[in-house]
Amino acid sequence: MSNNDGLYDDALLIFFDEAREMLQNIEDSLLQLENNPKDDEAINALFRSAHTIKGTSGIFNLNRVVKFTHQVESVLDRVRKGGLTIDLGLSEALFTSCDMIGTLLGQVEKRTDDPAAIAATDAAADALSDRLGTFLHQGGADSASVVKEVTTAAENVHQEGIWHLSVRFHHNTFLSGFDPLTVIDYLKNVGEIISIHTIEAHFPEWDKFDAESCYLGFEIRLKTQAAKSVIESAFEFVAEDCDLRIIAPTRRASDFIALINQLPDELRLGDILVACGAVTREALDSALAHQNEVAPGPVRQVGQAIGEILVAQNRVNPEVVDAALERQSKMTGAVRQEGGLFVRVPADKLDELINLVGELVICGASASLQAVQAEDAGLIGTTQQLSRLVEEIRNGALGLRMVRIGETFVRYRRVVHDVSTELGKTVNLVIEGADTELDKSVVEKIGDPLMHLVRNSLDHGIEMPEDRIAVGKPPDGTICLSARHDSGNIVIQVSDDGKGLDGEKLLAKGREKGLVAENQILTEAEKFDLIFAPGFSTAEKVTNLSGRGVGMDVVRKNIEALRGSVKILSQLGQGTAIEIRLPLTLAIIDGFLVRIGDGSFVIPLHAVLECIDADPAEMNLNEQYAGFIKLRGEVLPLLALRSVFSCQGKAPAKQRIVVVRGTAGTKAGLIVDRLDGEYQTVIKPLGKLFRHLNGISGSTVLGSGEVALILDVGALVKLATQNRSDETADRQKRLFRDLQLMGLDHNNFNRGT
Amino acid sequence: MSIKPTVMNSSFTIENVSDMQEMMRGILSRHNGEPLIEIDLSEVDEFDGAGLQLLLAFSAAAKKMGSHIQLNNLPERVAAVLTRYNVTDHFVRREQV
Repeated sequence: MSNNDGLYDDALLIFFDEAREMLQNIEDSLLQLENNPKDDEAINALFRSAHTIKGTSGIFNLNRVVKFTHQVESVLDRVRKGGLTIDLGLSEALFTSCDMIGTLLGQVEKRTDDPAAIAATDAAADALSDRLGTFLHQGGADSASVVKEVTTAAENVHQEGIWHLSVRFHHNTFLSGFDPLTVIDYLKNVGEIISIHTIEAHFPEWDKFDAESCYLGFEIRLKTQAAKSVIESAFEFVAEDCDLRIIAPTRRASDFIALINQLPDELRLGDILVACGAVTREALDSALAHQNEVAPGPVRQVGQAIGEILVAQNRVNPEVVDAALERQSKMTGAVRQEGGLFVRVPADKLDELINLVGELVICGASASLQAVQAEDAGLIGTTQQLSRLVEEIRNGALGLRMVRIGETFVRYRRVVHDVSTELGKTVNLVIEGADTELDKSVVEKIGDPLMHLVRNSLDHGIEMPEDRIAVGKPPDGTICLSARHDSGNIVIQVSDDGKGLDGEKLLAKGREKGLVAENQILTEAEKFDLIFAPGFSTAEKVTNLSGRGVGMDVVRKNIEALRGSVKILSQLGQGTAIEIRLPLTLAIIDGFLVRIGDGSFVIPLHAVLECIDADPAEMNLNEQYAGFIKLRGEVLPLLALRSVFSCQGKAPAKQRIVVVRGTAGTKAGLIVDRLDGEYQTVIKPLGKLFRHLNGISGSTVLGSGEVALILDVGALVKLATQNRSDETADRQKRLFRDLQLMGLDHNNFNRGT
Repeated sequence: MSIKPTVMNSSFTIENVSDMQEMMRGILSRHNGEPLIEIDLSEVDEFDGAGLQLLLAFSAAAKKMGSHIQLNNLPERVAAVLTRYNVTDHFVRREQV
């Protein structure tokens, strides 16, 4: 039982995941329909997504979701049948419904049991349901004529005749959320239903009858001019839940014999076919007699034989064969989509793999080193080949975590739509480079900063339509989200064709806020950079979208936390582009390798500004670890890493200072013994024990097998620039104690010791 | 004919068919050779394929026991479905008795 519960929970989790995708699809389709309300494909996609959510929710007994989604589905069904056009009002209602489904699902996912919250959501859902209900009863009079127009115009018209449809629903039809009656009802839009015979042949005995399984089958006579594909399309949504056989008006008795043979369990089918006028009793009897003459034998074998006879007699129309083939390919296509193309893998398994591959890289490097030292030519050759393979494996493993950024980008379509509507602006979102790939962990963390930038562009960048017309721009604004690879980085740009940044205005504001000294002269880029200062907002009118003070400084902080950088390009009156540069993966770092005593340290390269010689005569160091130096007329705080990390080994006579950049433009100089240059390496996270260690963000293993610690530059710069002596002393003590307690001796990290 | 007609739930659909089947099983287990088993559909306002299927299976099961199902107070909507799907002759309708 508990095992089943586990399976159920797993399935439910996958469903939540899928439902989110479905909701995204609904939003996408709605946005598509705003541009082109007659887009049949989008309408069908919309219906399918809502339908799937409802159906699957039903399986999981999520009745609140089913109830609400049912109403949405009904409205969409009406749209699909042409009775209703998606206009602005309906579109907004559907967007809101989409959110409501998300909320309902979210409550289930989070196992919300607060009755007040549930009641409030239910009340809102009911209100929304009523609102949707008004669309169901709107403009009913002319809907029939619309449908007729659509179907006749859409398909090549055939001679009117009576088609025969034989459909057998699969057991799981009800559980998939389909009602056979609704499907058959839909045929009314294709043509006139002459008769329906309900097939009960597959009903099990009453004792074994499961009311939730579907055993129904139908023989339907349909009078229509439509082509076969149109008739089939009525069954599109249940294609995998039923067996459908369509016999064209021109078909002869032999086709019906074939049908009978295909369904050998249904003994009365012949009678039913005669009863519904599909075939005459005489024709049926004579065809059966002919069949028995040619191939006597038990019924099942006859069934197989007749197919062959029909082919031999050239009686089977190619159309039938085509249809069979088409159906077959549809089936396999569906199967492939479900199980073949993608494998769901938990993210931590991938992380584990990448971690192991990292170990493998290091181990391989160590083997190479030993081979070289042993001067064994054969071994060197083998290890070189090994290194190459390991490198490929590493790239492949990192590639597994790469996802397309497009999926993140499309989320903003909705934001752009909602916000621009709210502000009374018309804005198009252009997406470029959606196929650009980057690490999943980066994608997850870049979402919020991007959202903020997009909102900013909408709110502050794009002007009102009348203002745009006044300056000779098209009334519709454009926001462009683009992504591209650039030398091991990904560059994401959020650009708009709005009013651009006014450097002078920014400067004035900066002066007013005391961020810029009166006589300080700033370059244009520096003026733009002011918007990243904490608490800086140029919005004269504070809207509920932006201007809340948690602005661009947070964006910059988040991006820098991902080891990225932000740059602003802007032209007054022409628009603004904000360029974010991020590493492709968080698993690899471009580092700067330095040596202090016996230990190696890696400083993230993006933080390194310059390296200078440390002249003891110019440095003012206190007895502990901090101090300052005058660098080109500026005071640069210094930090002696040797003391901070209590490194072993004697300091050389000539030390170096690496000038690094902390957050919000702060700088500090780190005193090291030796510079070993740039070094690209795989980051290994620190173990649990070391997680709270100040000043260290991770570790890596060098080719020689030696462990190098990756410095947390932000924390170190803060340490260097903290002025209050008591706190500094405390911090230092704490850090020192941490290190001592953890036994942070490089030897402890080294492999094999 | 001493058994009082059972009144069917308003939602004769997939959401309720399991419960209704239980109820019908109960009716059949109490069956005592009466030629007619009456059920009352006056409350039914929702009726779908699962409902239709259950009704047909119920009728078949009753027939095996030598009985027929009589549908009382058949709402227009349900009657229309039964007619459209050509299954009216499976049941006895109140008017016909």
